[in-house]
Amino acid sequence: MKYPISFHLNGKIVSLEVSTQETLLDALRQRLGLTGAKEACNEGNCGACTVLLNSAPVYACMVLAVEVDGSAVETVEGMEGEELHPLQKALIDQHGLQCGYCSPGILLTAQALLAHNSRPNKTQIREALAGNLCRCTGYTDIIKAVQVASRARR
Amino acid sequence: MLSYHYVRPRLLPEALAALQREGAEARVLAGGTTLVRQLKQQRVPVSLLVDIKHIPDLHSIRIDSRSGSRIGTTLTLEELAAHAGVQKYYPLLAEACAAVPAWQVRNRATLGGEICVGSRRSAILAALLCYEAAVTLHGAAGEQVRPLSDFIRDVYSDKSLLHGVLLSHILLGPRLRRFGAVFRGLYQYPGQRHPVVGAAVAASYYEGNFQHARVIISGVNPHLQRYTDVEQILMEGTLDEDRLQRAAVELGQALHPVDTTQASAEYQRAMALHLFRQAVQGLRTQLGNSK
Ligand code: FES
Ligand code: FES
Repeated sequence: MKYPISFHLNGKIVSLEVSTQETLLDALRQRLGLTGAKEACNEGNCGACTVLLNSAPVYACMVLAVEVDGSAVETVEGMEGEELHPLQKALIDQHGLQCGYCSPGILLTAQALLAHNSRPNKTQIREALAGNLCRCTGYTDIIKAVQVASRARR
Repeated sequence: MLSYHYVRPRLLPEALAALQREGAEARVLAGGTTLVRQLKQQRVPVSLLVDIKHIPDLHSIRIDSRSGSRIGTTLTLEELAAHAGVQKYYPLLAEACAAVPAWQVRNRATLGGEICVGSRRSAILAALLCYEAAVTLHGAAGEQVRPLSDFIRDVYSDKSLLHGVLLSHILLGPRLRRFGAVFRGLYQYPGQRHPVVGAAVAASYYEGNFQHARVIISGVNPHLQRYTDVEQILMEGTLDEDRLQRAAVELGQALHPVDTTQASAEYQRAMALHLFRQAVQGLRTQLGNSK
């Protein structure tokens, strides 16, 4: 079954026809060519596919594409600008990534956190990132990076 | 995933009509944290998804400590955890919603979904039972209000009771004076969605005695329930060690754990009793009766 949908994607309106079986993650990666959100567990456990839906972090693998009609979606590609986003820069500078598979999801969750709370402490950062798993870094440098970025934003 | 239709009603009667027209293969889609997984695994036969997130009444909340509160079933766990009225008058509910570890899950999972899934390990359902919640149901027989405890028990024995039915609101009674509620859970690892075993105890405290006691154990018996005989013992008189021991013995007899991959039956029973005592102690402290 195909349904037409329109939604804001990184600030621009996109329209496409999606099948009811398609997840938001499928639509982003396979139909729209935005491969920043990653597919890993594909069942809402790891956070690699995190995007912002109406500014709130969600697992794109657990949202049906048809559900986002009329919504606003932000992916890591939306962070692109002339320069690196302060969170991206901090993640690199603080060695908060190794393979980088988890990084797009972590960047978006951290972005949502800083939008709510511009000065999060370590515990608040840990809590916010509890749904984003990282196999490589051990989290310490990721948390440091979010703190550094929060200072840079002030 | 299998092929199915999708509708997005704006009004409750439209949603109900769609559910009833389609019959047993229609599914209500709210946050999707469980349903989308089932769809991927092709575990449920589905011909129609009825997305109820765009019905304004199901996303309304009215908190009133005197006359009782009404919470729409599509409110997300994050919205409930952050709601000032829920935090003030139903703090155990706010805590239980906030304790679901992944922010991404809290942003999608809804109170109605938590009830329909009906996990026997759910700390959120245990909190609702502490507040003697009732559910408003809409179905072929019209509108009905049922105690949540009855609804959980009935759906446990017959899942088909959910077919063609929509849960619109959760009703919570007026706030009792000097009432408190405490949950203690055993988690196997940080970030676990539900505790393996949990105990919730709620009561109000007047002149040295507990009144309106509620005792719920999660994760042990097949579905969440209150243990009214244990509650009676807690309310019979001053809560000394003797009475607490009698209550624990009574509770032990009402538990029927079976071995699981997470914990042996023996361990579940021991933990449930330990957590029950901890919850009672926590409640005494909360109500200023730590003697
Ligand atoms: S791929 Fe979506 S949570 Fe893991
Ligand atoms: S950097 Fe490899 S999973 Fe996080």
